[in-house]
Amino acid sequence: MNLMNDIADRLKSVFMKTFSLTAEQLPDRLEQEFIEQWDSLGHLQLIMAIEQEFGLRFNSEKIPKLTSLAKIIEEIPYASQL
Amino acid sequence: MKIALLSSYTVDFLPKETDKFLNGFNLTAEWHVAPFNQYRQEILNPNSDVHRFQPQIILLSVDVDDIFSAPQEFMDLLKTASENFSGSTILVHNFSFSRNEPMKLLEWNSPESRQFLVNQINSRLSESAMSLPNVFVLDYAGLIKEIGAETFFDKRYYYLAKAPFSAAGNQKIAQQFATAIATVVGKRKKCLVLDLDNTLWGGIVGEDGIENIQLSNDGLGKAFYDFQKNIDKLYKNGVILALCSKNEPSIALAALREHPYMILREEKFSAIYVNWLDKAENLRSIAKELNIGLDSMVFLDDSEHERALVRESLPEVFVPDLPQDATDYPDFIARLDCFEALSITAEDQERGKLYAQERKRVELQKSSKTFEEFLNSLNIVVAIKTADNFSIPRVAQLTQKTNQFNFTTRRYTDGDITTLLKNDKYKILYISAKDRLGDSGIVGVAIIENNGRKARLDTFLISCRVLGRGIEQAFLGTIFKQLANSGVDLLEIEFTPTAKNKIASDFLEKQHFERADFGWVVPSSLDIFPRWVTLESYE
Repeated sequence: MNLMNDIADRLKSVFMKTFSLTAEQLPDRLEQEFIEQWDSLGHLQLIMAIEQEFGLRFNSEKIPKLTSLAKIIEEIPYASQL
Repeated sequence: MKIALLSSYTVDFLPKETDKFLNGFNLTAEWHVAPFNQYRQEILNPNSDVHRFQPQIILLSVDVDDIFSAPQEFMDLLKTASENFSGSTILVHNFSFSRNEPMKLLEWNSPESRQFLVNQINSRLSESAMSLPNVFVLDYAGLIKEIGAETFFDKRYYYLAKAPFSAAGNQKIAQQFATAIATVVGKRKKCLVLDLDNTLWGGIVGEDGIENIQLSNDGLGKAFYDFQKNIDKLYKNGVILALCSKNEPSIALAALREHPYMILREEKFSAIYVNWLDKAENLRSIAKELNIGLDSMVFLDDSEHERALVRESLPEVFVPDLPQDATDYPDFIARLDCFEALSITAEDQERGKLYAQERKRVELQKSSKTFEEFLNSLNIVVAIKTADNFSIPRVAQLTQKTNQFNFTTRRYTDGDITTLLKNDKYKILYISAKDRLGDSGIVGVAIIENNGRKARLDTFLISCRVLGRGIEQAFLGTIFKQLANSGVDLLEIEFTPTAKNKIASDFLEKQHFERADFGWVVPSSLDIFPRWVTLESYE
């Protein structure tokens, strides 16, 4: 449980850095449709930043589907480690 | 500053990355990124957004596949760009493949080879750029070579979004852009300030002698020779050279003048500060003498202490870390990238010489509060102990190797030291020193002969790499105190002048001790222990 919280927190700070948002500005539901800056380009930036933060590499087929915090957390264990 | 970025790739990440590096040059940019693959229209259409934006600098990065079938069209486009944006500087990437070719062995051996053709295109690109006054080539192919295509590209982003670069690749390009932009707006560094011992040559000239320093056209000495050669290239392209070295001026200058493999001779230096003063003070004097800003100076020194001192006292000066291994020096200076130029004028090429001709030695003032503050911040801790079986080899070695800060230059073998230790009248002490930057180990030796109310200092030496931090005073001061405690009133400091130990006599002169025919005489009650040094242990 603690580990999951830790991953969520780290992801949130990547979201904040990538989209230049404060903690207060993060929407409750971290999904693509609720963050204006999370467009197709923002998506690549976000994925790149997450891969750097966690030292992993998502499969190219999965990348377009990682459209929410929950989906990203779910996919992390399946990503290959760098 | 307005910068436009035109590309056939998705490069929208690059401005943010480039801004990070521009920060380091104190530059900020306003960006215009043309839409994906619109570079042709943006250049040709006089009403395009890029035209209205009126950029100072245009960055152009195009995939080789985009121009491969019609390279001449791209050259023509460049010419048009040069004319349509005559007030802008245009920086264009050369070309390289982002993917591997099948039939590798055939590459370079067939006229159909893509590698071969790309090389031809790159040559034509450089020719075009050289014929256009405001167009310059940035070496994209070289960037890939530096970190390898595997690291530079990420095929997932390429196929998903036409963004071919990995995070590392983006970094590399951003750094290149920033360096080029800084060069365009004249933020290049002007002056390279160099240390001598273990920087321009291997070894310590004052200790080893001119004929024994490492500098040659063969073996490890060639690393220093090649390093000097690269620095000479900078000099010939307008970089001003200066010397800042703790050394005996006569010996250092003799090395510069007489060593057969010295490339950087005395006349190439615009300012020469070879003395035993604080290097930050010397750098300030160099800036003043040459009338250049501290922020246009780069300081190279093998000593971590000197680098830390300069970084702390003069944050404007760029102080890169020299590699640990001298064989990396030549590449290191080649990769420093802070003396870049896009073109070279005749004046640039003469600049180093002009400064050098104007050089005049300025008598330097002794240093200031800031130096003492630096020493304080070092947290220097010394330990002074009687030589024992473990330390005898190092103690004997120091008596044999130390030439500069050595009062009598008496050489002792391990056996001599052992014999002296058995003699009750003799005391053999060593000092070890450490500070927050590291442990220097045993750095000094003293041999004292006790004769009742008087004592004779038979040997006193300090390794030159720790000189000037108060360790010499701490050692001598502790000896005074110890003698006073054991009822000795006077210490006779023997001194034998040699060709190399002038720094030691200078030190003694400055202490205002009483002269005697054999050296100096000092009452043991004198307190010269420096405030910024801590005595950790004493036996």
